[in-house]
Amino acid sequence: MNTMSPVASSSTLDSNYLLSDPREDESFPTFERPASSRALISKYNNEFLLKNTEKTYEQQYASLYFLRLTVLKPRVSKIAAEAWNGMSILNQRVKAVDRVLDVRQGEFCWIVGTVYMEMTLKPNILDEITKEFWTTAPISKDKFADPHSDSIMLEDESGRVNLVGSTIKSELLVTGCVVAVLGSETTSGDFDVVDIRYPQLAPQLPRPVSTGHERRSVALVSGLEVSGDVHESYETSMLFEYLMGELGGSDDSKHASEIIHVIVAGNSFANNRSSPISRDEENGDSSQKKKKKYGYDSSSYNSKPTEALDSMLADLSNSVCVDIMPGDQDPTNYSFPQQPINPALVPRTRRFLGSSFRSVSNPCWWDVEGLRILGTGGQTIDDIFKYVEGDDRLKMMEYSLRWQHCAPTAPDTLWSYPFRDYDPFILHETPHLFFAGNQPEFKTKIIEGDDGQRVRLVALPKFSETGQLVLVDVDSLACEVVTFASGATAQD
Amino acid sequence: MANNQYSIFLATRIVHDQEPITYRLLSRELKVHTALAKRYLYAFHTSSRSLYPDKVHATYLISGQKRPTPAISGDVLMSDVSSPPSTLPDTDVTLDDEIVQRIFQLVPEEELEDAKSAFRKIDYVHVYSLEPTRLHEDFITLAECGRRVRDTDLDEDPEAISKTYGTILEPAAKRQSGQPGQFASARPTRPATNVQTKSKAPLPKPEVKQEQALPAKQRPVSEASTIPSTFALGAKNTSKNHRGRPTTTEDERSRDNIKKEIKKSESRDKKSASPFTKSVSAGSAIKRERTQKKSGTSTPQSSSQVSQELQSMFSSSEDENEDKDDEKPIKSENETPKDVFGAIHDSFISDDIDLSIDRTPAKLEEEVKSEDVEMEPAPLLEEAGTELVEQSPQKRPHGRGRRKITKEIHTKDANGFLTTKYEDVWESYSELSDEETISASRPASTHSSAPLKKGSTGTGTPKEKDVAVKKDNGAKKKQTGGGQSSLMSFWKK
Repeated sequence: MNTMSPVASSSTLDSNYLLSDPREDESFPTFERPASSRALISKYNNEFLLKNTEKTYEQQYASLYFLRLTVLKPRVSKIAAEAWNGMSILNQRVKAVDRVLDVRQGEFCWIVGTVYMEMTLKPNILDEITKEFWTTAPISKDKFADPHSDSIMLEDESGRVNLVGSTIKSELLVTGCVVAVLGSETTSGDFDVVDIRYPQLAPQLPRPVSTGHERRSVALVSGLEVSGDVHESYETSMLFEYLMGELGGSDDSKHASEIIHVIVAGNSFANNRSSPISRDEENGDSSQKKKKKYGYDSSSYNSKPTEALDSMLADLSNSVCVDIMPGDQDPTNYSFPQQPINPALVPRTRRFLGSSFRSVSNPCWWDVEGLRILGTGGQTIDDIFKYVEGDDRLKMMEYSLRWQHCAPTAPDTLWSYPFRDYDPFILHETPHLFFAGNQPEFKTKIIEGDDGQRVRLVALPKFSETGQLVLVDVDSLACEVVTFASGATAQD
Repeated sequence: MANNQYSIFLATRIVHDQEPITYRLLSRELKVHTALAKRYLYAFHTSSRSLYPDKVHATYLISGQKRPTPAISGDVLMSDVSSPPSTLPDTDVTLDDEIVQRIFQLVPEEELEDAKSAFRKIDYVHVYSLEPTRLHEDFITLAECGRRVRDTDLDEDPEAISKTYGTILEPAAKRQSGQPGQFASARPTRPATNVQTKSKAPLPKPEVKQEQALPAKQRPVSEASTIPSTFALGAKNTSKNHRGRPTTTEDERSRDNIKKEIKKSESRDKKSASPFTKSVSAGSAIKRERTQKKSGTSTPQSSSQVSQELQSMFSSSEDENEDKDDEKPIKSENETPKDVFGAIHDSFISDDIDLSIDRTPAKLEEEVKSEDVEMEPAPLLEEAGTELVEQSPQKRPHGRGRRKITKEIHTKDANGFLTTKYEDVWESYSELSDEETISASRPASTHSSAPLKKGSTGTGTPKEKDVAVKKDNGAKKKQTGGGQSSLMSFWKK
C-alpha cells in the first residue's frame, strides 16, 4: 500500500523532517486502507431493530423476564448441576428444586431464578403513581444501592424468595440477571445462600489465525458531543484529521491507515437538554401554545450539532468506514434498544450509505475480519453501576458477559421496549471485544472464560472530556490509546 | 507550482488578511500534499522572521509518547506526574499487556521546547498552522479553516482527495452520485426553496405590468453583467469562498467562483465582497469568526454599498421567481417608510384611476388576493399609517428572506373622504432581525388595526363603506391565511 518514494522515505525517519524547506520534486507517501470485511451480525442485530409495524406498547413487561428465564435457566442449571450435584452438606445431599416456592425448610438445595433487587432508593413506578406524579423526570441519583436497606430476591414464574447470607451480600448482582443459588430456607422463610453460580461466558467463535502481514485495528470513540457552536473543542477536529491520516508525520499516517473501521459509540451530539421527560413536557406546553406550528421551529430546534457532525462525518467517510451508534443524548428513541440514528439527520454523510457509512443500533454486533464485537453506548453499564457499590466499570462489563445478558437491568431501571417474543439482550455468543461507550475514564482488560474464551473489555472514555481514541488490534486484541490535546489540556 | 507562490499566498492571507492558515487549508488552496504544505508553513515561518518580524506566529503539532503517565485517565491525574507511579496501582489497566499511548498535542511556538521536554519519545514535529498572533487557548479560530477544508472536499472524489492531499484512501468509500451539488449550492439548514429551484428555469415575465416597473428595479439581464464585476473586486484578493473548488491558481479560482458566489449565503457574499471588512485588526478577526457562525446572518458592519448590491441581486432573482404579479420593487429595511410609500404612490399614479367602486366583490377579492399594487384605485392624496402583517416568511439560502406584508394605507379620495385599503407588498428583510420583528410586529398590528378600520369605515359614504368592508374581508382572508404561514414556517431555516 505504501507508495513511498526513496527520497521521502530516507527523511521520514527524522522527527523533524517536516521542519525543513520544501523541495518541489519530492513526493510524499499516500496510504490506502487494506480491504477488509466489516459486517454487522444481522442474526443478533435484527433483534434490536424494531419495525414500526410491530411496535406496540400494550403488552406487559413481565413477558420479557419470563422469556429471559426460559432461555437462561437451562444454561445456568447446567453450570449449577456440574458444580453442585452429588455434593453433600452436613451429610445431606444437595438437590435441585425446580421452583423457588417448592423449597422446604432445612433442606439444602439449589434453585434458579431471576434476581430482583428491592431498593428503597430505586425509582418505583408504583410510588410515583401514588404520589400522582405521572410525569416526573427519572430520578437521577447516582446510586440506588444502600447496603442496609436493600434486599435481594430470587424469583421465577412461581414466586419470589428473599435471599440472605453474607455470600450473597458480597456478590455483584443486579435486577434481571439469572443465577443459581445453593442454600437452605431459614425459619423465617428466607433463603440462606451458601454458593452462587452464573451462566458464565457464552460460547465464543474462534478468531481467525492472524496472517501477520499487516496490522489492522478498529478505532473506538464515544462522546464526541459535537455542538457546532463557537466553543467546539478543537480536539475533535484533530481526531478527524488523524483518522484521515493528515495529522503528524508519515508514520502517524501509516499507523492511521491501519485503522480499518471506526465506531462512533454514542453521544455524538452535544447534550443540551435535561431529560427526555422534561423535554416531553416542554413539547406538550408549546404545542398548546402554538397549535398551528407544523414542522420544526427554529426556537426549539438547534440544527447546528447535526450540521457540524454531518460535515465532519462526510469528510471522514471519504477516508474510512464509519459506523455511528446512538447514545442516551442522541436524537433517537431513549429506551433500549436504541434505534439507528436516522441518516436524514446527516444529509451529506448519508451519501456514503451502503459503502463507508452506516447508522447502527445500540447495542450492536459487528464482525470485523472475524473479530466479533459487541458494543453499547454505555447506558447498560451506567445502569448496573447504580445497583452496585464501587466504580469498577470493567467488573460490571465482565459480569454482564458472565450473566449472558448485556442489559440485565432492562426493563426495571433501564428503559426498554417490552419485547413479547424474545429477549434480544441475551448473549448467545461471547464477543472477542466488548466495549461500553461514554464511561468516565478509559479502562481495559482481558478476561478469560472456562472454555478458553478471551474477551477484550474496553470502557471507552468520553472524547469530549478526555480527547482519547482507542484502537484495538484486530489480530492481537492489543489496545492503544491516542490522545489529542490542545488548549487547556496542553497546559498540564 | 512556482516555488514562491506559497509565500505570496501565505503573506497575503496571514500578514495582510490576518487569517490563520492551517496546513490542511494550505494544501487545499494550493492543491499540494499535506506534508508539503507543512513544509511550506515551516519555510514561510522561517523566512517571515526577517520579512515580517512579529507578524507571524506558529502553532506546532507534536506527536509521540509522553513520559510515563501514572494512569490512563488524563485530566485528573496529570497533576500527579511527580508522584511515583507505584502510588497509583491501577491493576485494571496494566493487567496483562502494556497499553501504548500516543499523544498529539498542539503547542504555541513559545512553549514548543517545554512541551517537547514532557515527551518521552517524539515521533514528529510539524508546523500546524500560522497565524498573525498567538491563538487562543482553545484554538477555536482554527475551526473555521477546518470547515473550509471540509467544504472543499465535499464534492471531490475520494480517490482524488487521497492522491492530491495524501489522505488515506478507503477503497470501499463510494459516494452516492444521487444529487451531487445538492448540498453545495444550499446550506443544509435552509433547504433550497422551490423558489430557488424555479429561478433556474426561466419563467414567463408578467408582461402588462412591466410598464409599472420602477427605475429602482433591475432586470436580471443587466444583473448578470453588473454583479460579477462588483464582486470581482473583493474576490480577487480574498478568494475566501469555502465551497468553490480550487482550479489551479488562486486568481483563477476566485474568478471561477464569482458566479457561484452569487448564490451563496450572504455571509459568504459579504466576505468575498468585503474590501470593507477586510482591513480589520487581528482582534476582530476572531470576532468575525463568531459573527459568521451566527447562522450566516448579516452583520451590522456590512456597508450600505454591499447591502445594496445584495439587494439588487435578490430583487432580480426573486422577481424572476415570484408569481407573475409581483412587480413591486424590493424594499429593504434600509429604506425609510417614506420611500416605500413614495414608491407605492408612484405606482398608483401610473395606474388608471377609476376602477374602484363598482367592482363586484368577487373581483375585489381576486384583486386583493393577487397581492398587487395596480388593483387599487389610485388615490390622489396619501395620508397615513401602515400595518405590517407578517404573511409568509420565506427564508432564502442567502441569509436574507422575503416576506409578504400587508400595508394599510389611508388616502383621501377625490371627494375628500378617507379610505382605507390593504395592500400586500413583498419586503426583503434580514433573518437576523427576524425574531424580533415578528414578535414586535404582531402585537403592534393587532393593536393598531382595529381603530384605524373603524375610522375609515365611519367616514365613508355607505357605498364606500361597503367597499371598505369588503376589502376588509379580503384582507382578513389574507390574514387568516396565517395557517398557511405556519405551514411555510416548515421551510424556515
